[in-house]
Order: sequence, then structure tokens, then C-alpha cells
Amino acid sequence: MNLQNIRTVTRYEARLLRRSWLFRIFGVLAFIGIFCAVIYRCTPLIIDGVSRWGRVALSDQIPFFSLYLYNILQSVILIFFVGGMSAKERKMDTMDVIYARPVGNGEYLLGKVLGIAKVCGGMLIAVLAMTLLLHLTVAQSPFSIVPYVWYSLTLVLPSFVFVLGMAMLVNYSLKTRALTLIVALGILGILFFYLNGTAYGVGDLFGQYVPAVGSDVTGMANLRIYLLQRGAFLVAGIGFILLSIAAFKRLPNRNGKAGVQAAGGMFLIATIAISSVYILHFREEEAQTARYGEIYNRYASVPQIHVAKQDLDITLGNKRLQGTSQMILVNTTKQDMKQIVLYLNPELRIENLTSGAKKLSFEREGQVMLVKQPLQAKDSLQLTIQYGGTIDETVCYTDVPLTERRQMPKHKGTFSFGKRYAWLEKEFTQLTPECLWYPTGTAAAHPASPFDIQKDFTRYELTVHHAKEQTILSQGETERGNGITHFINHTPLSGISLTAGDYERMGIEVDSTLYEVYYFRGHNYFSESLDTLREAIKEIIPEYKTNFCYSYMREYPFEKFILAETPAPYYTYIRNQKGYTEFVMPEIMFLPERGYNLLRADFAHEIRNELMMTPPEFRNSFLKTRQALFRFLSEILGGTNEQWKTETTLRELSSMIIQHSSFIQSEKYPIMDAILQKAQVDDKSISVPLGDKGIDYKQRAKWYLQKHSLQDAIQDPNLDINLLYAIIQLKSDELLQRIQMKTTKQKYQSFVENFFQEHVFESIPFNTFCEELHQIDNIDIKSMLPEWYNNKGCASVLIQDGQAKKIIGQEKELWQVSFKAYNPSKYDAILSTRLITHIIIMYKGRSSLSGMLDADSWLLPAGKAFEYKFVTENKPTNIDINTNISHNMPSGYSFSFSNATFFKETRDTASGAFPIGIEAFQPNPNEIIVDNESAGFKIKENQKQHKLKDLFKKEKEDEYTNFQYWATPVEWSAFLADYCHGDIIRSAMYKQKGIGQATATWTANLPAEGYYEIFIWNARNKYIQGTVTIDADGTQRVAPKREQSYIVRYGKEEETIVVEVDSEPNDWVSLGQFYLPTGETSITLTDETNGSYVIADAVKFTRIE
Amino acid sequence: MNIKIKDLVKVYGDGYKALKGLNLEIEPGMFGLLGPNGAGKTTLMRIMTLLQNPSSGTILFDDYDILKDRKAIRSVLGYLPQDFRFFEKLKTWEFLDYGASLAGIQGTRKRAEVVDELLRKVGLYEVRDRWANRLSGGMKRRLGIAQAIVGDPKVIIVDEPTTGLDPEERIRFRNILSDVSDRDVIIILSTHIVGDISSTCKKLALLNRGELKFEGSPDDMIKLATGKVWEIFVTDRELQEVKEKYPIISTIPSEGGWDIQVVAEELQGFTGKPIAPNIEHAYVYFMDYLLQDKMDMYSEKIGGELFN
Repeated sequence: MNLQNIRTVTRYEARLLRRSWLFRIFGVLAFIGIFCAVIYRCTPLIIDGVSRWGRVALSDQIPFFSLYLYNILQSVILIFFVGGMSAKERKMDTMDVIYARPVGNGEYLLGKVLGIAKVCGGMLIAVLAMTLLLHLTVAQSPFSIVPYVWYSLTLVLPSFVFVLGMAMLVNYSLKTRALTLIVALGILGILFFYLNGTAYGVGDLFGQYVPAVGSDVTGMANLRIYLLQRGAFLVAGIGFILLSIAAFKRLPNRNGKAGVQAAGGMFLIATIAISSVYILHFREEEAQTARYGEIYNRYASVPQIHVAKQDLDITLGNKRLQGTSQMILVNTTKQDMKQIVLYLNPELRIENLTSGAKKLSFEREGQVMLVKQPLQAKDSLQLTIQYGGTIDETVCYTDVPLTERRQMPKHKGTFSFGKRYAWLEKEFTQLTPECLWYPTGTAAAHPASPFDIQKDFTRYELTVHHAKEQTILSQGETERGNGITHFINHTPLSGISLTAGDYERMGIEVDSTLYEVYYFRGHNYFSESLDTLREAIKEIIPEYKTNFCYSYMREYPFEKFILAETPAPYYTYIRNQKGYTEFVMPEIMFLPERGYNLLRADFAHEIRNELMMTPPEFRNSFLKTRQALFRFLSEILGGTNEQWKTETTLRELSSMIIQHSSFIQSEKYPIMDAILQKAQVDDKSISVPLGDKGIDYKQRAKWYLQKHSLQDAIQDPNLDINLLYAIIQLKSDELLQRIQMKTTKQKYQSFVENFFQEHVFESIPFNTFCEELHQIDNIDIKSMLPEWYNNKGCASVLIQDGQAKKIIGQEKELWQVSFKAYNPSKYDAILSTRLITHIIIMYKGRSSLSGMLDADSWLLPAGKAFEYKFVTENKPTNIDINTNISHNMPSGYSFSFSNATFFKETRDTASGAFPIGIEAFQPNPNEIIVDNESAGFKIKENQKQHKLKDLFKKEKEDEYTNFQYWATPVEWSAFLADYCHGDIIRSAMYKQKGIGQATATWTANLPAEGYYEIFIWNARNKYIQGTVTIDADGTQRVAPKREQSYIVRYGKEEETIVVEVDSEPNDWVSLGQFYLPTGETSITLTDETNGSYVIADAVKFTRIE
Repeated sequence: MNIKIKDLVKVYGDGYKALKGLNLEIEPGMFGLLGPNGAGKTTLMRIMTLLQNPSSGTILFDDYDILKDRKAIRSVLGYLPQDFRFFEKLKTWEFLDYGASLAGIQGTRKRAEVVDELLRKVGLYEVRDRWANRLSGGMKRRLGIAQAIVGDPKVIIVDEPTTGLDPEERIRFRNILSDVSDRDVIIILSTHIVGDISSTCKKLALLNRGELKFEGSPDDMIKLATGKVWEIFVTDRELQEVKEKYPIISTIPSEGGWDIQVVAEELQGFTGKPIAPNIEHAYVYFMDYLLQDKMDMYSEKIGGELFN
């Protein structure tokens, strides 16, 4: 290769490119675009009201974001640059004078590549300089030059080479500018929009999927994998360039085209090899995790050994730990054990296993260690295990579905830090019980039946030998020496963690609890903002702690509380069966690095924002800072009272005082701990009527429970996890309601509080809970359970006659509210009721109305009817009733009295549930009702003209939908609403307006001829008013009230009645009186209307005497 | 340096045979390549400049074979293509510098000196900083020849260099080429403007329909036409008759008619005097009578360019 030729072509290619209008326009637009994006997203210069902390907290983020954008824009520019190359050269006959020169094809194309690289390099430097300047001056983000260089080399360069090579190959193969642009941009589009997440991100050209952003402390989550992925693009790009040299039509200097093609092919083969290694890495990890999951499953039924005490002596090295564990094992079961099952990370090798002086034999299978030593029931054994090795993270989270494990968490839509479950490295170590870093008798997971898990409480003592500059964090009282740290736990714990890093500390002791904050050296971005609270912190902490503990009815059981910073890639999953995430350990809560994904972690911004929004005379820096701290604590410590976790509650502190302090053990009902631990005596007894929430997981859970039991749900590995959570939520509520019916809320609350206080740090047999609960009002929870757990069905409830009466003859004003309910099914029903009354509150000289809520639960036995009566001193506005798990859809009912001006009077002061006969629920013999759920109801659709879009139409997932008047369906669709007619199922059919071809027909078989009054049920949502439009001149136009046309057919007669449904109430609306013959009479509703939709619900024939 | 063309054949993808077994030897000096459009001149040029491969046969530059020694051949070549109008956005001196650098002239300063000298030689020094696209037609061709001769190539191939140039530019062009031809350099001038050849070339070859039809000096070709060129006076009415019978070389209005020059074996029906032929006469005689490839004398394009 002649370097002079290459340099010459490079020089002139760069010069020509810089002079081209395409480059100038694109370059300027790209620069301005990136500048604006960085300014807007990463600095407060344009809008300061929104915290940008999540985008700037770490030093990698700004350079990554800027270069990520640059990478995309550069790729598009490159394709346009290259796209016209051969066409231009064909047009430029003058290029023949260059081709006639003694310059090789490779030299020429390499020169062009380097020329383009030179120009793009210039653009890159300009963008880097701009970003650097913003980063250093206005972005308020930690700065390091390293990510700028790193991303230039690993993010931008491989993409550049790949796109350039691909574009060149396409260009020299197709030789047409238009086709080149279409094909090359098409490939780019496919990579960007579709392939970025497939095959573990192997096609992720721009770093959208692969964990490209690193921690300031531990760097990238998986550097090797990242480099493999980027390297594949670089190698592919080189291959494309070589193949484009071969595709270049100019006669080469030598007949060596085949050689160039071969070289290009070799690079592409190398690309495939690298990509295969990349994919295989993930496949192997997944296979390994699956294997460990199977091992967990296989040993799940083996009785668990109790580890009463464990002394650990750990020496930390670089990617290695050496440990000695001295354990006291106790067989607390009633059976003798032939061998003992322990769990330890598969990469930690057992070097020695003894019991006293006796050497013991063992077998290893993955994470399982089978100790060949029998142990009789109630007997104990002392064991010493010497082990060492590294940590295999694939043993973590075997019970998390593969689809969820494959998802790469994306922060703020752009950044992916990747997932690390543990670290064992020179700079940093983080080990939690999930990774089995010490021998334990408890499996971390049970993938086949996630809720069927065990827990153990052990007295731990830990000694760690480490590098002197490191700070070690773990549970228990701490004694720090020079390179050695000792932890003594005075109470048993469910597990311990080990963290080692270069930390700085802040601490304070309040009310004999030590509160500490450990942050990485140099990461103290917060104390300056919170400086005004320095003296007040001693009051703030106990205040928050008191509120927090009160809301969970638990005392904080530990002697210290640590907030410890952890690197950004640290990742865990929400597993409701466990009730906690690995962010929350006993005594220690891990916070993400610099709080990057916490909404309230940007204290400076929070305080500034608050002050800005406060009128000057009320600005109090101390108060605003205190508020900012409180909001931050609320965010990280939870306190939402939500039972089942969502993404926003990864770090809920409640798990520290609930799940980490006790465990209810039940072999027969493994879900009992999850349900009882989190059962709250609160307003869980009432659900919002369907009209508000619509078809959601809760409704689907009710549908599921109409035919399945809770046991079915827990044992079904294919059940949607969100559906499972909703089912468990419903059944948890039900159990709580059943308990509530036997006692008072206060008594139960008090019992729960005392019970868990007395049994703190215990794995409590469920029988113990049952026996102690029985002492409260003889509650026999065990007798409730078989039905509760195993019933494959649920009740149906008829509810009617809700009314409010004024009680007369009393000294003070009293009201009585009542309703009747009948359960014709063979299953007991549980009704929840909430009475809402009307009181006047005076506040700042003004009066306002407010509802007072009282919630109760009632058992409605199978086949029985009751009247429920409530007496209140306040005027009732409405009563809400919920049938909970039942066939009733929706399950919520409401009787409203707020608009009533007249109340019936009564002298009855009874309150409670009173059995009644079922006569009130018998159908009126003079009425025939045909509902849309009845057999006599039929629909007919329009003549269908199949369109292309029909091919892509998805099958309906649910039988019922939500009513959406803004997006009415083309075909008849069923929806549920409390304003629809129905005894058990209150539903109707609706569709968008048509030309009258689609119909709904109700047919009744009348037993005798005579006069009948025909009614239709007007399913009208009171919240949907007529539409009002405003013309350009300001004139208001109210859309005409919606009308529906009903055709009454009887004998040979036919009559059409138009009903202005928007003017009629949500009730039966008469179509008139008719003389009808014996036999079939039908009412037909067409889809022709002046409105945008029609609703078909029920019709009623009432015989007129 | 000698060039030997051996059994050169070029068949295009559509089956069209542009060269049909051409054999030719070219020695140092100006060599003219003459022929009508479609004769195969440009094809031969492009094969010689290694922009195309022959279908069979070869060309030897001394011992260098175009099929094997492309780099070596390119290093001694200078080329000015037929269509030399469109430039990338380069200045005049930059364009020449580009070519000079690829021609192997190393060193920025040295190359700048060579470039400036060449620009002076071709009369473009004053416009060295002008964008090449903004040069006039003649200036562009001068720039073209400058880049063709930069680096002192041993073989310079110029394809239709004077097409569209005014007489002054054409003369300047010929002079530049003549200066260069004084050295041991082969200059192959491919053209269908016979005047360019007569004034500069020692030898010429005439191609027609892919075959070599004549090889020799311009004088040899002219000799063939001796006694075959006539000057006649005709009236307007007779002019039409002459046009149908003989190829007319020139038509000069005269009192009462036209003084025309025709090429014919014998003059029948008209009285005229024989005149000494020039290269144009010889070319027409050769094409019309010896090859019997009737030229369309009344095509504006051919007539105008041929006899300019």
C-alpha cells in the first residue's frame, strides 16, 4: 500500500466533503440539534422546574447521551455522503484522470474512508467540545474525561465503520443513488427500530439495548460483553469496506480481487463468530440459571435444616473470597434426616468439611451441597466448612421468568446500566443472600412454586479480612480494625449481606438506634443542600420513624439503620412471594449510585423549586429543606400501604420490618406468610365500582376465581404474574374480611401488632398463629381455610331495595339505611359495605361538605337472604356495596340518596344483618324481562366487507370491554357498567352508528294475549353529557340528544318508536302500551341513530290488568 | 518506449464488437488516431489507459503487459479523457496538485513548484485560485492537458482534446502538445478533427468499425488522394447535382455560383481542375472511395467538425 496515495486521496476527499453543501447543512443541523438536546435534557438553562438528576447524576450520562445522538445523526449523514459516490463519479468524467493514476483500488477507497473519517472526526471533536463545555459549566453533573474518550472509541467508531462500510458496499453494488439511500437507510432503520433488542442486543448498533453506561465506581456492568458487541460491528464494517473494494468497478492494479473478497469474507465470518460468542454467553447463562432452578425444584420438598448459629470468617480478594463457616444445625422437623441439604454458590468450592474432629463426606450438585451425615429429629450438629472461590451470578433469581430476565432496564429511555446481582472485585464487593455467598439451609427460590418458600432465622457473626482502605458493611454491631472488621448480631436474622468499598460515612445515634449513611468517596453531593438541617436531624429522624412504624403497626426491630450507596448496575427483581427486594436487607437499605433513579434525590433542585413556588414572605429555607428531605425519605422508604409491589417500590422499607423480622411457615398453605404479613386492617374491604376502573387485572382475577381456586392459581406456572398478584390480593382481602366478621378491627390490629412483636426474628409455624388468634373471640381461621383455598367457584348475589329513612321518635336526629341481598348460589358470599354520610366542616370560616366512611364486611351464606340495616347520626348520601369475589359483574353497587328531598319515616332503630325470605327476590309474574344476557337476545352485524386491516385485527382478549364513547367499536361489543341492567351481570351491547343493517333483537314468549306496556332499559352514563362544540365565531352548538329507534313486531304488525335516550333517566323507559298476542313478540334496535353509537341492554313486558 | 497492440478485441455485453483484432505499433512522438464516430477510438483509449479490459489480445508498453502490469503502466501514463467538463469543488491548482501527488511527486513544496510551472506552461497561472468549474471550456482543456503531463509520463493519451475549442485555443493546445512531444514521449492523439493530426502528428492510424484501415504518415495518406481532388465552379442548379454525385469538401460562394472542392476518382459531367490534396481530402477519399464507407457529407456535425 502506498501511503502517499492514501494520504492524497484522504486529503482531497476530506476537502471536498467539507466543501459540500450536504455536509455543511447536515453538520450544522446535527451540531445545533445535539446542542439543544443536551441543553434541554441535561441542564436547567431552559426549564428549571423539572429535575434532570436522572440524566446527569453520573459522569457517564452526559457524554453517552450526546454521543448517542451524534452516532445516530452521523450514521444518517454517512449514508447520504456515500449514497451519491458512484453516481457522482460516473458523472464526473474527470474522475477518469484519477482512475488512470497508479493508485490501487484499496488505496483509493481507503483514502476515501479516511477522508470521511477525518471530516466526521472533526464533527465529533466539535460535538465533544460543546458537550464538555456544557458539562463543565452548566450541567451540574460529575465530570470525567474518560467517558468522552471511551464512548468516542467504543460507541461512535464501530458504528461509523459499520455504517460507512455497509453504505459503500450497497453503493458500489447497486450503483444508483436512490436505491443506495433506500436500502442503506432501510437497513439502518431496521437496526434502530426492530433489531436493537433482539438476540440480546447483538444488532444494537447505537447502544440502545446493550448496557453501555457505566458506574463511576465499578465501571461497566459487563465490559467484555460490551466490547464483543461493539467489536462485532467494527469487524463487520471492515469486512464491508473490503468487499466494497472488490465491488469497485475500476480495474485493480493487480488481479487480486479474489484476495480482497476473501479477506472481506473472512472479516464477515469473524463477525458471525464474535456475534455467536456474544449470543452464546447469554444462552449459557440462561441455561445455567435454568439448571440451577431445576435443582432448587428438585430439593424443594426436602425438609429444611435450621441453622441456629453461624460464625463466618471471610477473606476478600480480587474476584475471590475465602471463607470458613462454623454452623450449628438443628433438625427441627419431626423426621430424622438421612443427609443434610445446604446451599452454597456453585463457584465456591468446598475445601474441607468437618464436624468436630471428624471429616465428613459430601456431594455437590450445582448450588446444593449434600452433607452425608444423618441427623435425628430435634438433634443438632456442629459443622465447619472451609470454602473458596468466586461468585456465579447465574444462580440468582432462578424464579424470575426468562422474559423478564431478558429485559434490559432502560433508564430515562436512553441509558442502560445493565444488570449485576453481585460483585466480588478488588474495588468493590456486594454479596446478598440471593447469591449464596455463605452456606445456608434455606433455598433462595422455588421456581416451580414461587410462593412455596422457606425462611430461617440464624444468629450470625461475621469477621472480614479486607484491604485497609475499604469500609465493610454488614448487619450487627461493628468493630473495625486495621484490615479486619467484626460484626456481631444479637438477634437472629433471615440473612446477611456483605459490602466492601471505598466509602465515607455520616452517622448519628438517636434513641439508641444508630443511623448511618455510607456513600462512595467523592459522592457527597447532598450534604451542602441539607446543611440547614444539621441540628434538626435529631428530631426529624425519630419523627419519621414514629410515623413509619405506626403505619405498619410494627416497631423497628434492629439496632442500626444504614443507607448505603450501591453502584448503578446493581439490579434486583420484584418478587412478591418474597415480599422484599435485594435492595432492602436487614438494617441496610441500598440506594442507587448518587440516587440517579430517585425522583427526589436532587435536593438542591427540590429546595430551589420549592422556594421558587413559595411567595417571598413565606419562604423559609429550613422548612423547604425539611420538606425536601421528607419527600426523599417517603420515596425511598415507601409507606404507600400497597401490598403488592410495583416498579416504584423497589426499596420499600416495610419489608425490613415485616419480611425480615418474621415468617409464617405453612406447608399446606405456603402463601400464608405473604397474605398475613401484609394484611392490613384498613379500607381494603371495598373496591371501586367497575365504572371507574374498568376491565383490569382485578376483574380478570374475579373471572378466574369463578371457576378456579386459589390453589389452582398458585400451582399454575403459566399464569400471568400480574393476574396471580390480583388473585392473591382478592383472596387476601377475603381472608381478612372473614376474620373481621368474627371480631373488631381494633382487636385484630392489636393482635397482629403484639403477635409479630412477640415472635420477632422467628420462623413461626402457622399453627402457632392460628392458636393465638383463636384466643381472640374464638376465631377459628383454620376452619375457614379449606374453603378459602380450595373452592373452585364463587357466589352470585342479588341486591335490591337500597333505601334511606328518617328515624322518628328519637331524641336526636337519626337515619336508617338498608338494602336486601340474596345468595341463590351454593357458595357463601362476602359483602363489603361502606356508608357515606354528609357532615359539615368549618375551616377558616368557610363550611364544606365531607363524607365519613365506615366499612364493614358481612357473610351472606349460600341460599340465604338478608336485610342489612345501618343507623347513623349523619344524613346518608349513599351506600356502596361490593360483592367481592362473585359472579356479579361489576361487583360494586351503589344506592344514592344525595338528591333525595323526601325520606320515608320509620321508628325502626335496628342495625345489623337480619334474615329475610327470598320472596322479595322472586320475579314479578306480570313481568317478562329479556336482557342482553338472556337466550332471547340476538345480534346481527353489518354485511362485512373484508378489508386488509381485518387480517391484522387482534382477537378480543376479554369477553367484556370498557365503554369508550370516544372510540366505539364497529361490531357489537359487550361492556360492563353499574348503570346497565342485570341481576348478576350488569352489561349491555354497544356499537358505533351504522346505516341500520346491524340490529339487536329481544324476543319474548308471552304466555297470554293482552295489553302490555313495553319498556327498554336506558343504560345511560350520567357523566356523559351531550357534546358541545364552539364555532369560530364563538357560537355554542349543542349536539342533538341521542335517539335510538326500536321496532316492535307482534303478529303481522310492526311499529317503530324513537326514544330520545339522552333525555331519559337511567331506568326503564316506556315504549308504550300494546295489545300483544300469545307467543313471540320481538323488539329490534337498529344501529341507525343521530348520535355516534347505540346501546342495547334489556326490554321488559309488563302485563296491564 | 514503444507500444504494441496485438490482436486486440473488445466485445461489449450486448454483443457489439468495438475492436476486431487490432494490431498496431506506436513509436515515440505524436501519433494520430483518426476515424469516424464509433470507429473504436475511445474504446482503444480506455483499454490503453486501463479503464477497461480487452476481450482478447493485449497491449504491450515496452515489456509491460496491460493484463499483468497495470500499476507499472499507470505510472507512466497521462490521460486526458474526451469529456472533461465536470469537476468536484476544487480550485485549479488543487486539481493539478491532486494529480501530481498521485503521479508520485512527493513533498508539498516541490509539488507546488511543479504545479505552478505547469500552470504557467498552459497559461492558467493567473487563474490558479479559481474554482475549476468556473474555467472556460478552453481553460478546462488546458488544465486537462496539464494534469495529463504532470509527472513526466512516458505515454500521454488525449482523446478528442480540441472538440468545441475556438481556433486560438486549438492552436495553443497543439503547441503545448508539440512541446511535450520533443521529448522521448509517445503522445496518442485520438480525434476526428483531421486538421489536428496534419499539423502535429508524424504518423497516424485510421480506424473504422473496429478495424485498422490505414497506418502511415499523413503524407502517405495524402498521396493516395493525389489527382482525386477537384475544384469546380457550379451554378445553384448544378450544385444539387454535384452533391448527389460527389463528396463536397468546401463550398465558397462565387459570382454566379459556387466554387466547390470535390473528391472523385474521375469527374464526369463537370469541368474542374485538379488540386493538391490535403489531409482532409485524403481522409474523405479514403473513407468514401477506398473503404467505400459513404460519409454523410451533409451532416452538420460531421461536416462542421471535419473541416474546421
